[in-house]
Amino acid sequence: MLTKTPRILVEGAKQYGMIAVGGIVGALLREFVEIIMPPLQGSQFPIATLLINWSGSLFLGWFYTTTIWKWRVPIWVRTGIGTGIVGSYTTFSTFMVETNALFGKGLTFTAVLYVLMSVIGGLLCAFAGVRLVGERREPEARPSVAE
Amino acid sequence: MVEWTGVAIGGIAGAWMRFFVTNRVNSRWRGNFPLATLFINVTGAFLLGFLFAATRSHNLLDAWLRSSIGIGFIGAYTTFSTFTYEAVTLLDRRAVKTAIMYVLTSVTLGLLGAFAGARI
Repeated sequence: MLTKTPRILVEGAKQYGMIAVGGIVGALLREFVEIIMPPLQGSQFPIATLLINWSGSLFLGWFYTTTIWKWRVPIWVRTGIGTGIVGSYTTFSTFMVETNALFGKGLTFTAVLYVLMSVIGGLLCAFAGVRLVGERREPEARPSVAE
Repeated sequence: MVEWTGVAIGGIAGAWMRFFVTNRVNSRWRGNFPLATLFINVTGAFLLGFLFAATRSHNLLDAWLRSSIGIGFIGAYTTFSTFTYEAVTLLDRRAVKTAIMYVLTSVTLGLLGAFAGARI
């Protein structure tokens, strides 16, 4: 009976399983960084979220690109690490709520600086991650590796 | 320990939710514009704004809700890394206008969402 289980169901279960594991790792990692790095004194700049979002962007840019062009991995490894760990580690909601709170406290300069540094820095980090992979070969030249 | 467990469980639910919504949206939306991530990030910013305004950090139950739902679930549901990766991919494909529109709408609507969530 089990041999008749459709492949798509098995693949789906594997992906959801890996994303669950990744979700735990990513969320706990972010909680840990937020605890050891409180907002800066005085300006109240949310340094932890900024560093989390920068490092996550750098890693995801590299990981998603290298797993297309250089290093073929099964789809569940890609979703487990990319969607699971890195997706849960970085956060957009905390970034937005922190910015709104800074504006609310009248810390307009910190708020604007935080948004600009997050967005421009995050894009540069993602770009750097993509570039880290180096030369991209055409798909035809890719070695075929069974999934 | 209770707090960390809450964050871990929230992390699973948030990551699953993001994967589910992304697949759902992408099965219908065929455009270049990363609609799924935009929807996720704006709704997440709204929910987190609401949660943090509705709870107080010095109340024990509220503090637990804040970390498991706020940091765990909503934090894992929304994503910054996919947002920057998608924007850079659009730029890489020379879809400069779409990339700029994506970044601007994400930040503007996200901020409005967080603000509205905190106000209701």
